Amino acid sequence: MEKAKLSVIQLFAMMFMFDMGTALVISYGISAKKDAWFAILLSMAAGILLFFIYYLLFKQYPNLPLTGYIRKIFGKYLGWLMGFFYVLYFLHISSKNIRELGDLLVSSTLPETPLLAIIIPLVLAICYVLYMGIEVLARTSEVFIVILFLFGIAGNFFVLVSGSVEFHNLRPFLEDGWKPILDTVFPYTITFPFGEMIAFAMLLPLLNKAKYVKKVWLSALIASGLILSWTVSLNIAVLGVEITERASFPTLSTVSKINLMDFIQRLDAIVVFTLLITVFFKASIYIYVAVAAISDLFGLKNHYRIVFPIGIIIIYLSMINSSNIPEHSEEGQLEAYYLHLPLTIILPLVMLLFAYIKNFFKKKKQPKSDKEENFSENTKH
Amino acid sequence: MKRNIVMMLLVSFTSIFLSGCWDSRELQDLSIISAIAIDKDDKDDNRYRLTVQLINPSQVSGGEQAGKVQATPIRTLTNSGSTLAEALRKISPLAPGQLFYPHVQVMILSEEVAKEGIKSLFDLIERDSNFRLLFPVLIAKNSSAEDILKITTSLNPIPSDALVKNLDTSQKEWGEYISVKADELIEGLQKGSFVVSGVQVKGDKEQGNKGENVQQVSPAATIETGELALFKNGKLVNWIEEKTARGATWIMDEMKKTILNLDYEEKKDAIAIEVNRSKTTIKIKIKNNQPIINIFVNTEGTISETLAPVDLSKTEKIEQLEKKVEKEIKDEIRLTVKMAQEEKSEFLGFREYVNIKDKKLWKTISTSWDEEVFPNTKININVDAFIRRTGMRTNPSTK
Repeated sequence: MEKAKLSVIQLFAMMFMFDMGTALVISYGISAKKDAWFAILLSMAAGILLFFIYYLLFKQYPNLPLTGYIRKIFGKYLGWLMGFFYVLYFLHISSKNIRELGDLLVSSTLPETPLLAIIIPLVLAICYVLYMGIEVLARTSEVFIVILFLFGIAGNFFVLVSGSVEFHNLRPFLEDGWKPILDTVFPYTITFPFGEMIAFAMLLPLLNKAKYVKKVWLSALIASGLILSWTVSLNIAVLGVEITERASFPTLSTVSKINLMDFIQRLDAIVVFTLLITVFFKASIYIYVAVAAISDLFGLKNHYRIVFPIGIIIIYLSMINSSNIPEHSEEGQLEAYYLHLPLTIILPLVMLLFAYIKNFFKKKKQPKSDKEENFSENTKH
Repeated sequence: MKRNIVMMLLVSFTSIFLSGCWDSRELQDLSIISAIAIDKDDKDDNRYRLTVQLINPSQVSGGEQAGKVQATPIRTLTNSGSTLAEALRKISPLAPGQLFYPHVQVMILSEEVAKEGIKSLFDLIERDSNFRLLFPVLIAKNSSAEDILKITTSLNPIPSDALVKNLDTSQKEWGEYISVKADELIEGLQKGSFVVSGVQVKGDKEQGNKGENVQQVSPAATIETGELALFKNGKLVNWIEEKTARGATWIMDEMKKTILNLDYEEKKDAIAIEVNRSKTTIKIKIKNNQPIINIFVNTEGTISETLAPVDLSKTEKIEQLEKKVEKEIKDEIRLTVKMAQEEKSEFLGFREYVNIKDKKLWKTISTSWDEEVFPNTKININVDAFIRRTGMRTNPSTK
């Protein structure tokens, strides 16, 4: 692991943008139709529950990243294997995010540009930042979250002022009952992006003030949940639920409807930049976390050497992971069951259970070591 | 040192690719399309006959044109295809440059195309990121859509721009014909019934095609917007005119300004009232599993002209006039509602209100709404009209 420290604000900025990544622009939660906003709020609430799983695990092993305590819990060999699964998971998801960004750019603004020409510079930029270290990424996020907020305020303001917002499109509430909402929440919107935040289990030991973990995580989670819910409501209010369902990138369509006095119009760039910024951070965090996990699992001294090779792998993965957009989203639905669900909910729960049992027996055997752990925790603060 | 060189290379490499030159398009190589017209093609196996109106930038922008031949500010190109995409692509070789879609101002569909059904017509426009969905769509009446694009206009050199401005003003000042934008039309297609404004050529089409048309004080041919085309299930079923059309504007809460003529004693249409503020709300009541629609119109106006000797200094007279305004508006709305019920097509947007009011009931009646439920639904109309001012004079000079 790198010897770095992250401040509270930096971690908040990273978590916030991580959650915004792609979810803000794709048709997120729309399978709940008019109640998408409510489905997102529900999954935000569920995300808070998920956080407590990760948080209790962190409490048990405050100095270890995910790949560290997974080996403590499951033993050297099985734990290593499990940790390696997480590495593959992180790499896969980051490559998917990068692909999504590339697809948006190609289908909306740069139709003639080859996908590879978009992906390579993006991944290289990410690799460069990570090569400089996680602290550089964190400081960058502090700058970009301000820009992101400005874009968000500008976009929302113009959409609201342009007069095409009809909130009665969101009514009636619970048009088709609870089933579509619950089907959306579980397993889709709960794991993406709230469950995906398990990536931060790799970064929590780096926070300079460990006692603020709960505050940072929850505030980022709630802020992003509210904003995602608001955005999807705005999309439905502007486009109507049918068009939002059919749109590949509803937020882009919403913003393209801005027309103030035939003068302020064509603000699509706001959405493209938003996606670019958020995906940059989401993918960076995933790649960093994967790199950190690899160096932890393989006992490397530092991560610098493997950043660029991993970048190459990411480029390759993002090019091959699907041959078209429908395949990409179908894969996404499968992933919810076979990747997100086990890795972000089931496995952490099992880990928590094992950790409690293990520590329970440990306490019984040698109460002395328990004291030591408490001591080490106190010095950290 | 070595690291610096690597970084320099990296920076230059990324900056080359991040600038996005791949998609660069030079302004002088573009043929800017200002309007698209879609007709039915009878010949061959083609489905559509597509016409685009290109802007000639050098003629539109001002400045001296010494030594240049005076050309028309627009040009049309036509070709056919089974799909719109094919037809557009077949037009490109005829155009002086690459066709450029984002500035399309208006789209015109011929009556034939509209009668055959336009359900799938807008797919290209939705799917292609080059099109923007904020332009109005019009239906050409009594002529092909192509002809509309071939008429030159004076005062505003770009006919499609003139057309859109006419449409906007007629909606704002006269309130009879609503301008329906492509995105609204697509929403309407999903709901079932909706209305779209019409457009027609007045005068001699052949003369309108020539540049001399704009040199006349009163041009031989003009394009005029008017009438509403009523669509049901994506097909044109009827045209709505004048008062019936204005009733629709009242119901849909699109009324901005208009003039109402009132009878006074024996004299017909003797007093003109200018309506300058109006708000319509729709409330639904459910009785015995049957929706009852209540339309509330609240409107304000001033007296703009009177040809009859009315004593306008008396409140009681004003109140009488208010009653008349209310009746006039009510009659117009009733005309529209009756027409919609007879046509069995509810284009006025009541369905959303019913759904919001009672979603369970709506689930059971939504499929039979147009055909069975709506034609038998009771509709109450309540109008509150206020005349606030009488203008610069109270009583007229006529006695």
